[in-house]
Amino acid sequence: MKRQIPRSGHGLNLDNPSLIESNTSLVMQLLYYFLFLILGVSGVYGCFYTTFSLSLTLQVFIFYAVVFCGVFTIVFLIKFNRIILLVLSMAVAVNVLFLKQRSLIDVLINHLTQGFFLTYNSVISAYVQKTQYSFFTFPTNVAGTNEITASSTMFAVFTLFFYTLLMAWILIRRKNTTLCFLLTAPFLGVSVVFSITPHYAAVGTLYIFWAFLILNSSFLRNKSKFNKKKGVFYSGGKNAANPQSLIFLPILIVCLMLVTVLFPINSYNRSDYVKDMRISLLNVPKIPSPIQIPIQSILGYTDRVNLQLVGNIIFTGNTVLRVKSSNPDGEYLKGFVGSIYTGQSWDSLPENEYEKLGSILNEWKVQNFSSLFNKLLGRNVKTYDLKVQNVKRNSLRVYAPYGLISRPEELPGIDFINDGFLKSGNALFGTGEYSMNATTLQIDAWKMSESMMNAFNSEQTSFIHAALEYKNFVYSHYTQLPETLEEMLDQYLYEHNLNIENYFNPNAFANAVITQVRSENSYTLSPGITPEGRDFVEYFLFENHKGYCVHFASATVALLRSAGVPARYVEGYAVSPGDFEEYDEWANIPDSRSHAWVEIYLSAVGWVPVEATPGANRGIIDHEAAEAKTSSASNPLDEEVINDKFYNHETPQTEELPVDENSESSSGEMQSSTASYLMHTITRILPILGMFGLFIAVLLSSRKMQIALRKKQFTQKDSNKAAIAVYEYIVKLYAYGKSNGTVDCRIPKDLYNLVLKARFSQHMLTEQELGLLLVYAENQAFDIKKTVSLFKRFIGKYIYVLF
Amino acid sequence: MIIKRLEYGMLLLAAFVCHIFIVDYISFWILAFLVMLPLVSLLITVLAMGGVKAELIIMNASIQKNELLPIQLKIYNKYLFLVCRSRVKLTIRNELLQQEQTRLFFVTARHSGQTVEQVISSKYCGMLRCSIAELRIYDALGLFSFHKKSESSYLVAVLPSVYPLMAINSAILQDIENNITSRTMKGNDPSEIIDVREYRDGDRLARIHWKLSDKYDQLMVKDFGDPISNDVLLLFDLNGNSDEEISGLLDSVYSISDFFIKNQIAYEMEWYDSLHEHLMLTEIAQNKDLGLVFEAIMTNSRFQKQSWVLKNCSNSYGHKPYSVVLYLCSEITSNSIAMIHKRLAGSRVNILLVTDVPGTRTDLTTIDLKNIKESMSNLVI
Repeated sequence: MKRQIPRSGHGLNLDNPSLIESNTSLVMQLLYYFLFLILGVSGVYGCFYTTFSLSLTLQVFIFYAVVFCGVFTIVFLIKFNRIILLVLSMAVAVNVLFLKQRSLIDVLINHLTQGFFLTYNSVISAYVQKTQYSFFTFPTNVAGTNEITASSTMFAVFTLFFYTLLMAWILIRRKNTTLCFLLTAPFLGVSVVFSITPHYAAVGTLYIFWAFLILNSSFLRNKSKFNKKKGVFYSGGKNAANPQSLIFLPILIVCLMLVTVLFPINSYNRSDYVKDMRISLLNVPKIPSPIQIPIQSILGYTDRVNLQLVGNIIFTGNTVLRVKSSNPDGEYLKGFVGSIYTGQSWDSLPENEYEKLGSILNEWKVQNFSSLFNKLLGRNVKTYDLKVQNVKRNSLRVYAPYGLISRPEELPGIDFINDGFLKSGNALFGTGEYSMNATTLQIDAWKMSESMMNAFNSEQTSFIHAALEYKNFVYSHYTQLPETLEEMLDQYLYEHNLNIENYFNPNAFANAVITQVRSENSYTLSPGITPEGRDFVEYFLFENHKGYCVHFASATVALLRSAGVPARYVEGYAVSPGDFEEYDEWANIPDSRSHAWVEIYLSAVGWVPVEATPGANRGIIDHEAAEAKTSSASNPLDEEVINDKFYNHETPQTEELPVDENSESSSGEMQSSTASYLMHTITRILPILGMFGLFIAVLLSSRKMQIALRKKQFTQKDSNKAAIAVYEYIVKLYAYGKSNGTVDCRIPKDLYNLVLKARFSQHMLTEQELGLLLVYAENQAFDIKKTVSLFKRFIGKYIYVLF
Repeated sequence: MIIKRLEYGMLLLAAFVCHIFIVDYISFWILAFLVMLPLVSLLITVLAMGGVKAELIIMNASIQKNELLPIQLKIYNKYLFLVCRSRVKLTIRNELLQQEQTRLFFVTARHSGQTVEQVISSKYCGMLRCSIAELRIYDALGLFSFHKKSESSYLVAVLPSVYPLMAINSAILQDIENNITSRTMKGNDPSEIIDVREYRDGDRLARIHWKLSDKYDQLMVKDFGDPISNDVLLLFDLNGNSDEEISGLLDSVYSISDFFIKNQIAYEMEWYDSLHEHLMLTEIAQNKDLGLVFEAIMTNSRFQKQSWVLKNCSNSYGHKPYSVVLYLCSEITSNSIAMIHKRLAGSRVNILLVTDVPGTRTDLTTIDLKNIKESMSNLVI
C-alpha cells in the first residue's frame, strides 16, 4: 500500500517518525528487568518483615523471590502464551511448596490461614504497643518457633507470588514508574507511622530501587515505540530496557555506604540549626486542630530546650493535664531533663555516652532508682497510683513522678529515655493516657561504703555496684559547664561564700545556693529575651536579674555544677494535694502549672527535685504573688535595671490570649509568646486572605490557560479539526445562552454545512470558511455576554470561560 | 527541564521538612540520598557525553517531487557501559524556497544505538538541506543538560518535473543555422556522411553509394548527418510570488532543457546567482551540465524581487545574435517586453509567462501552472 504522508500547507511534508529496533539483546533485557524487580520486591518485604520482626525462613523466601522474579520477567518479556505459563508456574509453585510436604487441603486451610493470622497479629501488637489502643487479634493454633516460622514463611511466599506478578506487570508491561513507587512506598510509610525503623539493609534496598526508578523513568516512558508529547518524540517500547543503566546500581550502593560511613548512626547528631528550626516551627500561631494534629504527630520528641526563645510568658489557664493520684503529698511530674548546658540551650547527652551507661546498668533504669533504693533499704514509704490524661492529645511527652516503681515492661508504649525521663513510644499518635505506680521520696542521703556491701545479697549487691558505677557516671557527666561561665560562677560562689566544703550534704548546699539566687533576682513573667549571643545564665545572674522558673532553675543548676555538684535542669508539671479538693477523682492541671526545677543526685536515693523558684512550694507558684513579692523588695539593682536598655518594663498582660495548647514550646513546657493580640488577629486573618488570594489566582490562571488552549485549537493547521472545535464552542455558548433564554440557538444553515464539510469531507476547509465560523462564534459570545446578568456573566467568564 | 528541576526541588524540600520533623537517623539518610542522587546522575552524564555521536544516513542524492525520502538518524555511545538521554533537533530546509521543518527527538544514547527513521517528501523542487541542528545531552534525572556540537548535514536535490514538449519539435529547427552536424541523428546534410548501410525499399537513388555497392555486390546507401544548432539562449527570472510559480517556472525551464538535450540542441542558459549577485551564463550540452546548473540554482535564495536577467541580458555573446532566445518569467510588464526585444534585437525572442492566472496577457505564450503538463505539451515557439 502506498504510504500516505499527511499534507500540510508547507511544501515540506514530514511523516510520523519510526524507531528502528535497537537490538537490545533478550538476555540483557531479562537481566535488566530481573534485577529491577528483585530490588523492589526484596526492599518491600525486607522493610515489612523487619518492621514487625516477623520470623521467616530466609533461604526459602529468597529462593522463591528469585524464582518468581525470574519467571515473571520471562513471562512478560517473551511473547508466548502468558496465561499458560502463569498457570504452569502457579502449579509448579503449589506443587513444590505444598504438595510435597502436605496435602493441599491441609496446607491451604491451616498453614496459610495461620500465617495470615500470625502476620496480622504481629502488626496489631506493634500498633497496640505504640498506642495502647486495643484491637481484635486472631487466635492461632500454632505453637513452637518452627511451626510459626513455617506458617509465616508460607504466607509470605503466597503473597510474594501475587505481589511479584503485579509489580512485574506494572514495571515490564505497563512501564509505569509512578505506579511502581506507589506500590512500594506504603511499606516504608507504615514503618514511619509506627515509628519503627526497619533494618537499614532493607531500607537501603528500597531507596536504591526508588533511585533506580527515578533514574530510569525517562527511559521507561511507555510501551509504544514512539510517544509524541508537546511536539517532541520520545522513544519507548521494548527499547526502554536499558541494561547500561545497571551501572547506576553499584554506584548507588557505594554512595549509600559512603553516607553511612561518613555519618554513622551511632555518632549521628542532628544539627542545632535543624533542632531550632523545628522548635520555631512548633511555635507557629494556633491553627485548627485537624491540621495541627498530623503535624504534631509526625514531629518526634524535642530533646532540646532553646533558651534563646525564653522570654515573656502568658498563661491562659486552660487545662493541659488531668491527673488522678492517691499521693497525698502532691508531686513533680517530670517531662524533660536537660543534661548539657551550652549557654543558649539545654540538650541531652550524646547517644554514645549512654551506651556506656547501658553497659553499667544492664536492665535497671535510673528512673526506678528511687523505688529500688527504697526497697533495698527497707524504707517505710508509701506507694501510690498515678493516672495521667494528656489533654493535649497526641502529645509525645510522658509526665512521670519521682520514685517511679513501674518498669518498662509494665508501661507498654512508653520509652525510658536513658537516665532522664519518659516519652511516648508512638511518635505519630503520642500517648493519651497512662498509669503508673510510684513511691514517695525519702531523702535521707548518705554515702554507701564498701563495708556496708556485706549486708546485701548478690542481686542486691549487683544493683548497688551498678548504682555506684552510675554515681561515678553522674559526677563525670552532670557537672559540665561552658568554660567562661564556669569561671564567672566560681567567682560568684567565692564572693558569696558558697563553699560546698562547708555543707554536710549536697541538698543543704543546694538550698544555700537557691537562697542566694533568690535574694538577688526577682520573679517576673516578663523578663524579656536574652540578647543574641549572650549566655542565658550569665545574663540573668549578672545583668537582668529578672526571670521565672526557667531562669532560676538554669542558674541554680549552673551554680551547683560549678561547685562540683551534679545537677540537671528539669521541666514538667507540678501537682498539689489542693488540686484534688474539689474533685473526687481527676484534677485538672492548667498550663500555669508548667514548671522548671532542679534535680540533684543523692546516693541511695537517686535524682531528687529541688525547688529553685521564689514563691514556689513544691512546684506550685502563685505567679502574681511571687511577682509582687519580689518586685516590692528593695533591690538596689532595680534602679539600674529600670534604665537598662535590655530590660522590658511590660506588666503582665491580663487579657486572655489564645495559646497553642498542643505545641511543643520553645522551653518545652512553658507556652511563651511574644505576639500581641493585634498580631494574633492578623495571623488569623492572614491565612484566610491567603486562601482567598490563592483562589483568585487559580481562577485567573485557569481562565488564561483555557483561553490559550481554545486559541490553539482554533488556529491549528488542520482547518477541519479547527472548525469542529469552533462548532463545539458554539454549542457550549448556545447551551449557556439557552439556559438564560437570551439567544436564538440556531446556527445558520450555510455555517452548519461548513461544519458538516469539515466533519465528513475529504477536503480541507479554506481559511475564509474557517474565518466565517470564527466570526460567528465571536458574535454569539458577544451577544450572550451582553444580555446575561452580571452574576451570569461572571460565571460564564471565570467558571465556564466562555467569553 | 525547568519542570524536572522544580519537581526535584519539591522532593528535596519535602525530604528536608521530613528531616526537620522526624528526628530519626532514617530521615537524614533520605535527605543525604536525595542530595547525592543528582551528583551521581551528573557524573554518569559527564562521563557518557563524550562518547555520544549522532549521524544522519541518507541514501538518495536526489529525488523527484512528492517522492518519499527516508532519513535515518542514528544516536549511539561509543562507551560500552555509559548511557544518557539525548535530544536531537533534525532540520530539513528547502534552500530555494526558504522553507524549514524541524523535528525533535528524545532518544537514549547507548552503545547499541537507536535509529530513528523520518520519511519526508517535498511538494516543490529545491535543494533540501537535512542537518542535525542541535544535539543536547541530558542526565537521567533531567536536571542538567549539555550542548554537544554535531556537524552532520546532507544535501538532497528535489528535481523539477519533466513535461514532454510535443509541439515544439519542428518549429524550433526551422530558423536555426546548421553549424554542426549531429553524428548520431540522421538528416539531409550531404556534406556529412555519418553512416553507410544496405539498401532498403524507399531509399532515394541519389543516396546510393555506387562504388561500395559495386565492391560489395549489393546496393549500399549513404546516411547524411543532421545539423545541430548552438544559437539558443534560455534565460529566466525566478520572480514568482508563490512557491507554486517558482517551482512551476523551474519545471518549465527543466522540461525545455531536457527537450534540448534529448534533441542534441546545445544551448546556453543565463540565470541570476543571488548568492554571488551576478549573472551566470552556462553552456549546456548534456544532462550532467544541466544537473550542475540546477544544483546551483536550487541552492540559491528565492528572494528575487527584481528581474535581474531581464535587465542585464544582452545579445553580444559570440559576436553574433542568438538564433532563438527563450525568456521565462512569472511576471512581466509591457515595458519589459519592449526592453527585451530591444536588447535582443536580431534574435527570435520567445517570452514564456509561467503563471497560475492564465489569460492575463494574450500577447505572450503562457504556461498555465494549473495545467502545466498540457501547456508544455502544446507549447509552440
